[in-house]
Amino acid sequence: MVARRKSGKPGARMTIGRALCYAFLAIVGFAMFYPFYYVVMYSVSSYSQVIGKGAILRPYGFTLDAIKNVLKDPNIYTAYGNTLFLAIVGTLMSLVATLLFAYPLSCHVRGHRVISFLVYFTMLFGGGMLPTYYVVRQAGLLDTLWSLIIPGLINPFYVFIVRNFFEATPNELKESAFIDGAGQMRVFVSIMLPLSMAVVATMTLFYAVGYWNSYFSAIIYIRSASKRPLQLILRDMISQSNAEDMGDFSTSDLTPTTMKMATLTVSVIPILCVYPFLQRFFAKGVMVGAVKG
Amino acid sequence: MKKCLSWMLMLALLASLFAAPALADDPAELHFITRRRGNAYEENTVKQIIEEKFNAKINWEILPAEGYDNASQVILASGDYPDMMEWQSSGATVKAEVPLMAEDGVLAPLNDLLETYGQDILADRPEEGKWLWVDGERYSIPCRPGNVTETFITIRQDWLDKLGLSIPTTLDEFTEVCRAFTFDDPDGNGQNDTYGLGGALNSSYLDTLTVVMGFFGVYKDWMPQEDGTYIPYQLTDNMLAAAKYLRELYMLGVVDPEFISDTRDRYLEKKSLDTFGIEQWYLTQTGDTSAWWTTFKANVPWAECSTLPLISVDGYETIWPNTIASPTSVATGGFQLLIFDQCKHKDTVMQIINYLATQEGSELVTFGPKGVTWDEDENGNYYSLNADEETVKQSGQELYYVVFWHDIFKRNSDPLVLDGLEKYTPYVRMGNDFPYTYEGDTSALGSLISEHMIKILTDASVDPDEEFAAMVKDYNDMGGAAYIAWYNEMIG
Amino acid sequence: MRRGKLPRTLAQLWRDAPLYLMMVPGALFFIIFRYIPMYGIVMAFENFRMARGFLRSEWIGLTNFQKLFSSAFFPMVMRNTILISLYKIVIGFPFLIILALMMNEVRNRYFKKTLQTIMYMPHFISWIVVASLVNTFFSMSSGVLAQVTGQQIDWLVSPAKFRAVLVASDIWKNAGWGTIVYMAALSGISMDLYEAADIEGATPLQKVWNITLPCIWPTVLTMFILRIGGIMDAGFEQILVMQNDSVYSVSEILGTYSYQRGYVNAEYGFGAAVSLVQSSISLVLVALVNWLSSRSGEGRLW
Repeated sequence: MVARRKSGKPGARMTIGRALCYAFLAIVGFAMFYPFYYVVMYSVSSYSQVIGKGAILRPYGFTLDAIKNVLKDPNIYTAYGNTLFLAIVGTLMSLVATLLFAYPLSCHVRGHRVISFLVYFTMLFGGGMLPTYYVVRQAGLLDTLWSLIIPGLINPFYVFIVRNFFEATPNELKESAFIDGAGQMRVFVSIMLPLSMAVVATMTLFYAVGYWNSYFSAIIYIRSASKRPLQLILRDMISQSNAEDMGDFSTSDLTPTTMKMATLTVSVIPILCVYPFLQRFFAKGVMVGAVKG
Repeated sequence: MKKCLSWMLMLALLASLFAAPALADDPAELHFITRRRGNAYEENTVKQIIEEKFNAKINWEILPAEGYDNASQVILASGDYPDMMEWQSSGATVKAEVPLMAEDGVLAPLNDLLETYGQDILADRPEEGKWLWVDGERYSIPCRPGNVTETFITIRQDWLDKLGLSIPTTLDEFTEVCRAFTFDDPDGNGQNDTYGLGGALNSSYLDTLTVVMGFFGVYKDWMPQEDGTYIPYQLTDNMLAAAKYLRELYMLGVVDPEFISDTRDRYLEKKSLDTFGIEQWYLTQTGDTSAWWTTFKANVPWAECSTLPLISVDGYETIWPNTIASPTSVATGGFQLLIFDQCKHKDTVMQIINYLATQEGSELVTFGPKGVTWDEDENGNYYSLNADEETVKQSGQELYYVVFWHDIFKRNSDPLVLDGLEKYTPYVRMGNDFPYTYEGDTSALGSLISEHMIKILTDASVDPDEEFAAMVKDYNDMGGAAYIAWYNEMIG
Repeated sequence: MRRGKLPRTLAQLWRDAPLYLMMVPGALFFIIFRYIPMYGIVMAFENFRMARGFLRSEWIGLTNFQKLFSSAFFPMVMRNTILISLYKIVIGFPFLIILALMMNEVRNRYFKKTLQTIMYMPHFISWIVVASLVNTFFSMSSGVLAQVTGQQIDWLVSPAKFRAVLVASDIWKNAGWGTIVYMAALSGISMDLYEAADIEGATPLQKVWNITLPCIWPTVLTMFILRIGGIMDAGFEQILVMQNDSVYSVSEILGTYSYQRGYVNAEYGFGAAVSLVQSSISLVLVALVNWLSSRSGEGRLW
C-alpha cells in the first residue's frame, strides 16, 4: 500500500467554497452550542440575578445550589448506576440482536422482503401501552431492569440502516470467503463486521443514548425505588418543582427553570464525555485497499 | 375446697391460653400507593406515629410524580391492587371508570365505613362527589375539598405611596394606577421594566387579567342568560364589556405583552421579582401561601403589599371569577382515594384517612410532629421550630394535599392573606351543579375562543365588537351550538 | 412444482440455515413484544373503559372514526399536520444532507471533532427544556434576542412566525444527530474515487455531485422513505409543550388534538382511532414511495 498523505485528498486548499463551508459550519455550530452553554450557565446562577439578562456569558451569582439539590435525592446515585447498566448491557444486547437480525436480510435470504415489511409494520402500528404491559407482566419482567431493555430491544429504524449498510458492502470479499469454505457465521464475524465498524459505532451511540434517555418504560414497569433510572428521577424533580405548593421551595435561588437546567446539565455531561471515544470509528478510509486485494 | 380451687385455677389457665391470642392484636398490614410530593425518606416519623396510633404496619409505596397517572392506570388494569390508592386523573376519566369498577366489585363500598369511622372526612360536604355514587353508595373518597377561594390579590402599597396614589376604587382610578405603575418608574431604578398587570395565558394559571373580568360580573362557568338558557361565560355580554376594557388597558401598554406566550415558570419568575404592580397569589390547600410568595418576599424585601378590593362597575355585579367547583361538577373529580374490596382491614384504613381530616392529623401531616418541627403559642398561633434539615426530612408526609382538615387554611397564614380571603369570600360563587361529561371537542372549542379573545385584546386593527361576534359565530359553527344545546338539555 | 426447483430451494435453505438462526432472537422479540400486543388495536372500535378492558368494553364499530371525520376541527387539524410536516421535511431533510456534506469537507480534524460533538448536544435536550429556552430566547420584549438586537418581534405569537419557530427549533434539535448516519455512510466511500477525480482535475463541487452524492444515494433514499413514514406526526411532543392559544389554529395537529380528547377527556377509543388513521395514512404513503424508489432500483425498504 502506498503511503497516503495525512490530509486525505491530495491538493486540498482553501478555496472560496471551502471558506464559505467553514463559515456556515461555524454559524451552525454556534447556534447549536450557545443554548447549551446558556443552560449550563443558568444552572449555576442565582435566578434572581440572571433573569431578563439577555444573552449570558458567565454565571451571575455563582451558586451550585441547583445542582446540589438535584444530587441530593437519596436515589440519584443508584439511578446513575441503573442507567449505566442499561447503557452498557442494554446497548450490547440491542447491538447484537440488531446486527444478527439485519445481516441475513442484507444477504437476501428467502422471504427477506416479507420480513422487512413485517418489521416496518411495527414502526407504524402497535397495540399500545396496556397490551404491552400485559405481555411484559406475563413474561415475568415486571419491576426488573430487564423490563427496560427487552421490550424495546430492537429499533426497526436501525435495522434498516444496518441492513442497507451491509448491502452496500461489495460482495467480492464474501464470495472469496465462501469459496475458501467459510460458513455464514464466520463470514459475518470475520469479514462483514470489521468492515462495518462505522455503522457498529453509530448503532452503539444510538442505542446507548436511547437507553440513557429512557424513562417512560420505567414509569409503568418499575415499582421499586432502587430500580429507577436516572431520567425518571430527574423528570420527577421537574414535575415536582412545577407543583404550586412545593414546600421545599424556600431558597430563592431554586425555581422550576433552574431545576430544569440543572437536571439537564447533570444528565448530559456524562454522555458528552463518552462520545469522543467513539469518534475514531467514524474515521474515513476504512475501506482503503480492501477491495483491491 | 382445695380441689375446687385448683380446678378453678386450671380452668382459668386454660381460658387465658385461648383468650391471649385474641387479646394480643397483630398489627394490620397495609399497602398504600400515593404520589411523591416531597423528599420524604423511607423511614419517617410521621409514618411511624400513624403506624403506632392505629396499630398498623404500612407498606407505603410512593410512586414518582412524573407519569403517576400512567402508572396508576396500569396498576388498576393489572388487578394487583393495594389496600388504598390515591388516584389522580382527569375528572372525565374518574367519572367514567369509578362506577364501573364499583359494579365489578373491585372497590369497597364506603357508606358504612364513613358512617362509623369517617365522620370528619366529609363533615361539612356530605354530597361531595355525588356523581360517582352507584345506587346511593359511595365508592371513593374525594380529595381537595374546594370550600374557599384559593387566591388573593395584592397591590404594591409602596409603589402607590411613592407615586402619591391611593388604592383604586373605581375603574378610572384603576386605569390610572396601572398607567402610573407602568410608566412612572415606581421601582425607581430608572428602567422601564415594570407593568401594571401580567399573566400567563398558556398555563391556565389564574391571573390578574381574569380578576378584571370579575369586575364586570363574569365568572368562569356556564352563565344563565335572560331567557334562561345557559351559555359559556366567554360568550356573554359581560365578557364583551370586560374584553373591551382589557383591550383599553392593553393598548395603553400597562399589560405585559408577553402574557400570551410566557410559560408559567417564566411568568412566576417575573412575578417574584420587582415587575408587576398588581398581583395574584395562589394559596395552597394547606393554608400555606405558595412558595412563590416566600420567594417574592425574599427577593423584594422592601415591598409592601395591600389587598386590592374588587372594583364595582356600574351596571354589573362584581364577582370573584374563579368559582369554587361545585362538589358535583366534573372538574373536582380528578383526585380520589380508592379503597379496594380485597383489603382486609378496611376499618383501619378508614380510621387513618379520617385522622388526616381532623385538626391533629392534618397538622401532623402538613407541618410535622408537634413539638418537633412546630408548636403553638399561648394564643394558639402556629410557629415554626426551625428544626434541622434531617429532622425536617424525616417528618416527610405523603398525604398532605390530599385529605385535610377544612380549617387548615387559617393556620400559618400571613395576615395579608387572611385579609384578602375575608374580602373576597363574599364574592365567591359556587359552580353549577353539573356532573356530566360531553364527548366532543370541548377543549378545542375553548382554545378557539381563546384565540379570538387574544385578538380582541391585542390586535389594534380589529374591531372588538365585530371580532366578538365572529367569535360567537365561529364557536357555534365548529360544534359549539351542539354543545350548548346538550348542556341546556342536561341541566334540565 | 417443477422437478429441478425443489432440491435447489432446499439446498438454498440449508445453506442459509445459520442465517435464519441468527434471526431467531430478533424474530422472537418482534413476535412477543410487537405482534402479540397488536390486539390492542381493537380499542379503536370500542368504547373502551379501563375497568372493562378489551374484552368487555362495548363494541361500537366505526363510531370513533365517524366522530373524528365529522368533527369541525378535523380539516384544520389535518391541514396543520400535513403543512408542518411538509415544511419540516422540505427544509430539514436537504439541510441535513448539506450539513453532512459540508462536515465532510472539513480538513482540520480538531475542528471537525469539536463541531460534531457540539452538533449532537441539542438532541439531548428534552422538549420541555427546549420550550423553556425558546421562551427565554424569543420572547417579544424580554427575551434574549430582543435584548441583544433591540427589536421586538412577535415570534411566538404571530401564526406565521410561530410556524417558523417550530420548524427551526425542530431542525436545531435534530439536525446534528441526523447527520450521524450520513457521516457513517460518507466514511465508507473509497478514497480512490476521489483521487481518480483529482487526476482528471475535478472541482470540489463536481466531486460532490459525481462521487459523494451517488455513493450515499441509497442511504438518502432509505432515510427519506423512513422520514415520510413519520409525516403524520408533525411533532407531538414539541407542539404540546410549545403551543399557546394565540397560534392554536395553526399549531394544533392530529396528535395534540387526539391527546385532548382521547386522553384528557377519557375517550380512549377515539384516541386509538386517530392513531390508527395516522398509521394507515403513513403506511399508504410509505408503500407508494417505496414502490417508486424500487423502480429506480435502490433504497427500497422492502
